[in-house]
Amino acid sequence: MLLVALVSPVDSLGHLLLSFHMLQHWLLMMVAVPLLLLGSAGMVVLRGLPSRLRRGALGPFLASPLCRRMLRTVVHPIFGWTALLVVTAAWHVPALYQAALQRDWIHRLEHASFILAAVLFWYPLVAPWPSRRVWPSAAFIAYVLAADLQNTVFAAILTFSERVLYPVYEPTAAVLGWSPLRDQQLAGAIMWTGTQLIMLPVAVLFVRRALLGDPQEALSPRPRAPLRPRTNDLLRAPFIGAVLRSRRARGVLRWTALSVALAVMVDGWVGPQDAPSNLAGTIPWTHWRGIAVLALLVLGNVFCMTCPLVAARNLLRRFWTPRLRWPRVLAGKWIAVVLVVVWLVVYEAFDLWATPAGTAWVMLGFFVAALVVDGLFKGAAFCKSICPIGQFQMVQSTLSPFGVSVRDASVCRGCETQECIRGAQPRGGLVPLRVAVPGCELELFQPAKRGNLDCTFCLDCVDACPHGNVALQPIRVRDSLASPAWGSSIGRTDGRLDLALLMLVLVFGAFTNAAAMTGPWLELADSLSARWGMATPMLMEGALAFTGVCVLPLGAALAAALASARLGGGGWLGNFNLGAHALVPIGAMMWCVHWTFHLATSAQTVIPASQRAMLDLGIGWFGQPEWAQSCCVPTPAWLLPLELLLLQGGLLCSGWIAWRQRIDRNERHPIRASLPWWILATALWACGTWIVMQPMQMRGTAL
Amino acid sequence: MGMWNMDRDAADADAGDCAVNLPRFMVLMFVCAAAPSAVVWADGGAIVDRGEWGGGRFVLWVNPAPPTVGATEWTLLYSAEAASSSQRMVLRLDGEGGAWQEGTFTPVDAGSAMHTCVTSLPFAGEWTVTLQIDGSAWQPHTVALRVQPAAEPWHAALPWMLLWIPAGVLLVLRESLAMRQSRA
Repeated sequence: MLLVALVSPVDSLGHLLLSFHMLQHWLLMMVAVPLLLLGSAGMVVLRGLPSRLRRGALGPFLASPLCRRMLRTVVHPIFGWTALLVVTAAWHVPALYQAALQRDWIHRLEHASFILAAVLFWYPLVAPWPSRRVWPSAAFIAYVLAADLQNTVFAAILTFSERVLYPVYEPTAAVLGWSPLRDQQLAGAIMWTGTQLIMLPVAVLFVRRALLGDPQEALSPRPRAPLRPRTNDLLRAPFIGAVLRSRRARGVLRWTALSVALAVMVDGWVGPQDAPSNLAGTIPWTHWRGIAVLALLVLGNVFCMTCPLVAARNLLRRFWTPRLRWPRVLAGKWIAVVLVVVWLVVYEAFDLWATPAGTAWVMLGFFVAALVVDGLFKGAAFCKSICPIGQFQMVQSTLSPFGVSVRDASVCRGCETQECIRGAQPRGGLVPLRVAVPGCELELFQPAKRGNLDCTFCLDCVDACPHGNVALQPIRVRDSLASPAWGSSIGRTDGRLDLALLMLVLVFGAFTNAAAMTGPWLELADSLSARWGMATPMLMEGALAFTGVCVLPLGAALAAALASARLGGGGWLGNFNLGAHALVPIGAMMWCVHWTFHLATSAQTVIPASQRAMLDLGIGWFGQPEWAQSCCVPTPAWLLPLELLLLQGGLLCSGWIAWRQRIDRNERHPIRASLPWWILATALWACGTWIVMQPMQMRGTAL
Repeated sequence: MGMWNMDRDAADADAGDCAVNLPRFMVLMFVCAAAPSAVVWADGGAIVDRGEWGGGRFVLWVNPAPPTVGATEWTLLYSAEAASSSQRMVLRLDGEGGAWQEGTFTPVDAGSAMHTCVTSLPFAGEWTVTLQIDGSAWQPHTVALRVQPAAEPWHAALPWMLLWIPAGVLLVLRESLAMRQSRA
């Protein structure tokens, strides 16, 4: 019915003739809404929501006495009847009605208010499960007839008026050969008879119920079946669970990624040095980044799980066993912080996105570094302390909805062998294992693991656990970024300066990286280079990037930490570390906005680049390159609203984390202590909003 | 049935018109159903001009309303039987300093009385809109139009930008309710 009312010719003709507009409103209010309520759609939607969202987000509202009172009031028959009267009367005022036809947003408001009023009117009558009617059936006879009466008054005014009440229809009705007055009379007749066609049978139904009894009143609560234990473990989901659990399938994914990486590197060296026509100019910068950040926010750190460097490392370790332990002095994120800064500055200064050979050399550098470090040292020192991409993935995965965690903590308390950290040998039993697997090489002890930080989703712990007690299940953002509890291999949130610096660099790096492709940034770099007599803007772009990635975050976060310590108490260092954690969501959303933009506008660029690469290899199956696809497509209309929504989601999440950190630590002044970080997050949000409104350099395309 | 009778009784003089126009109405309904994307042109907007021209009545809409610099959608609902499909209906826009734009109307579907075209208005100010039919003896129809400067891009995005404020209020409410409930 909604389709008929809003998508069929009824809607289009509603702009031309009053009678069709009336028919549309009648369908919405008198047919579609009661049918929706009869289907108990609200309860179905509520039950269909994830339980965490239902209980966590809606639960406090639904359990609040004030909200319950308000809900009881709005679904009361008197409120519903009044709402119908007020809304119907208001929208029949000529000025309002005609405004709705001339302004699209007023028209939408009109339809929304009609639907809402109809819901409020029909709700007490239908009383969808599990609610009950608050009045006896006899009272509803009067309720329905009174509504019919008020409808009759408006319908009669339309039908018997001797002048056209809505002149806006005069020209269109005339062109179609209709008399505007006849059109108005027809509209009045539809309103009158159409509504009576619905209301009178409903009144008769309630007369019958008043005489014979209401079946709803005779209903007794049915005994509930015992609830089955439910699991949200992705490893137990059909198909995807089997793929994720299988070591072989994970190996295949890594080798596939390794093959793609090698193809990209070779093409980067030997292919044309024009970014949009080279695999190294498109896949890493447009596709891999965009899909990786979306996967992080939808699922988890799956790109570390399928990392090609791990495939190469595992191959090396078949022939070579490392003997050294990673020096304690190099543990932590200090090297990674420096490398992330270098990475972001070099990217801007040398326009890595535009130089396929440079991209290939950087990728080779990653492979060499990973093989040297993991060839010399035991464990996964490269992943944990060095890899800039891994650090990016692990920090952003604090916002992922899924994480590797124990299913039942009591099982771990009784475990003495601790295979999840020590490794396991082949075994039979309930959870058999064919090959020896290492324990967590990032030294995350499952029972004490907190959130997703430092977890590469390798799932070795899943294989190793003899109790099958490690799951890939929903986790809370709070656990990674706000919890005061000690986390295995991470420590306390407020005690890791290296981690805080890494987070700050990545947060401000998101904004710098996005700003560097806007017109104003490029103009600034050019003008400063010219003023200082530089031959190319390269050095200036690098200096600006360094300022944005390093100088600015240090200055801003230090100021916020000092203010937070002064307002809320505590030391500046603890406040600094906590605040850096709180800014992660707004930074993650800026990365997502930026890379989703490239993916949405340039996804097709990989097609001609692949066709060209295949032709170079003498494979013509994929046809000649269609270079028109190297040009970016126009920005889709949904992209800007989506970007703005993501940024706002990041702002709210950052603000919430900043506040939650103080609440979970029982601080005396949680609002005052988190205020400076709210201000900083809001400034970053404003900056991000400004960036997405700017003209963008379409990197990786032929533009 | 009663509804239709009432219409006929009240409008004896127009009864013939109703009979003639019903097929057209049906065609229009079919067109609307077959080409919903094209029909969007007729949604919203403001009437620029209406009246008699050539052999029939017409209504001309412009969208956005009020018209601004940039892409502008024009919709013409024209009832003239004489306007055959082979004739080109043209919309000409003349601005200050001799600037002009031209667009050709195309029917939303064969036989439809509704025609659309899109033009791009390069600058704000006073413009003259002229409707003409190529090869027709009818005098072109003209009307004045005031074009406003284009809105800043962020104006359109403003509702999307400020959603965090109500969402933030809901978040604060949710947190305070949850804390109160956990204490109780």
